[in-house]
Amino acid sequence: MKRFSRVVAPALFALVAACSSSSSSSGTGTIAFTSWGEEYIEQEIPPVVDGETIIVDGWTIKYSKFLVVLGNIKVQDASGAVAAEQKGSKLVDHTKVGRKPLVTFPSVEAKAWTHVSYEILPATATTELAGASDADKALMIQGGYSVYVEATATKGAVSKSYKWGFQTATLFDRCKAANVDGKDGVDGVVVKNGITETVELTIHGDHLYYDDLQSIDAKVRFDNIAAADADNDGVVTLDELAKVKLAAIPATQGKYGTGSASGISDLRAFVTALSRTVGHYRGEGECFASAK
Amino acid sequence: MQPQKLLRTSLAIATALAVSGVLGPFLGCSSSGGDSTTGKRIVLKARVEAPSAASFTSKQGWAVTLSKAAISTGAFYYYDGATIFAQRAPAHSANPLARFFTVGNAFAHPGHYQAGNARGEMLTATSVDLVAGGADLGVGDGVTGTVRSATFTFGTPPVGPQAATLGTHVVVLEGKAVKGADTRVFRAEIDAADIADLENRPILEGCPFAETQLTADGTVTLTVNVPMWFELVEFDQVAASADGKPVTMDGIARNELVRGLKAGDRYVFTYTK
Repeated sequence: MKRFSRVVAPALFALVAACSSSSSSSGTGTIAFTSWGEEYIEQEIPPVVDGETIIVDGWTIKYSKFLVVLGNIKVQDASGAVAAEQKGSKLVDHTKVGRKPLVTFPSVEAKAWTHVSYEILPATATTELAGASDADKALMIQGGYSVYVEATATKGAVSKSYKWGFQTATLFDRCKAANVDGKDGVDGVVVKNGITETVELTIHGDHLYYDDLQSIDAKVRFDNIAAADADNDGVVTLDELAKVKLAAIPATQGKYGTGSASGISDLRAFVTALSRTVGHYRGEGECFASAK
Repeated sequence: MQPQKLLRTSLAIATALAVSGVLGPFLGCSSSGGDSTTGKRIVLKARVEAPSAASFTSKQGWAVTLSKAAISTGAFYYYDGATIFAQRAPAHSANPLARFFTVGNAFAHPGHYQAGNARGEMLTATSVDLVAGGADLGVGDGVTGTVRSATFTFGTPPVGPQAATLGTHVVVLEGKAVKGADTRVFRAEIDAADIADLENRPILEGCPFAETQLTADGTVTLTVNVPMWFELVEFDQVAASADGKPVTMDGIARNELVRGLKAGDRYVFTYTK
């Protein structure tokens, strides 16, 4: 059974291999999708790294749980021809060290597949585990969560903990690798003959604390979230965040711009919207995020 | 992780070019993939409308009557990039020159706005009283192709018919709000600094442009949703007038109004031939 689960089951795992052409002189390769939460989730988000300010108001954030349901990965070319598609999802705890395998697509035609997409979506009974536990899965299903975090933020002698679950469903479409050294990043993925191309769906743990939904100059800050702890019990709940009006936050503490997103007037709604922005592509690469 | 400085710089350069009008000559250079109708120069008049500006009931339940809603308008820019959390992705330009001179390579984080390729602009600054009805703003130009979003600029300092009313402000509102037995007579003065973005620019990027193809000379109409400016405003936080004269809004009520003014979805652009 173990052998079956490692070899056959992944192939059956909602894998639809549908190469755009059945024969090709360019050969075939393999795409292996993984997910990683980087050091920010595995270790901590410090206020400063190598002299660069990360959290502008001096907090350090350490996650004890960062659960994300990733699924419905799809690889297409520019014409819309589908190379491979995952129909299903995996629950990943990104606090567990290392890159977690999501799905592998063998025998993909060697060429540029420029349209890659994936989803972060609520867990279901068929969601598989990747570094997460059965208890994690039960929690996610019960809450209808797609993203769930447990963390502690500290500044000096002050400590705030929180457990937040988000029910957002988000499509990350037309993913593109980041520019490197002035060279334009690659759209999607290029499959080479006989090669396994690993594609990492990177989760950015610092995005839950940005102070703007739209601006690329958004800052990571925590003072306003810490101040939301109305009963001062050291635990910041989503209900407490909901009681903080964005209009009541002084501009010097963050403008909390919402762009053209509607109906976001308190910190809970703001952080929930930010939960749609944690998904990235191959490190710093980008996708177009849209509500599902 | 934080956005890359290089990418931020490219956006800043492109935006600066756009704002300075340098973008104009290059509007015709763009050819987005798969969009064969892109590239023909067209004339785009600009107009503003504000239905329901004079009288409405706010989401907070206040019956609001405005006697004045002066706004200073500046340049408009139209793009093919979708608004944040929208469904459509911008097309990519195949022309290297066009890619450099458009704002298509912002590489913002997911959920953040990516303007995409410039499709048009209207650079005339003026000012209008939205209570008085619609008004023509000026004539701009563009190129044929898809539009999905726009940038609205508050003009500063104000010029045009409402310049004297506005003074140094970009928006001046006066009116009365009634809820049950409570009445508030108010005046709001909003400055460019209040609505400035994180780069201190008095602009609203990523406003929705009802997705369409620009195919010929036509009119771009900006519809301002004035009632939604007041969506969050709690008028009970405004002092009651002792003498019937307007009380200048401040504090949380003013902040709520400012957030309403800064929300991009209150400024919807449409195109008609």
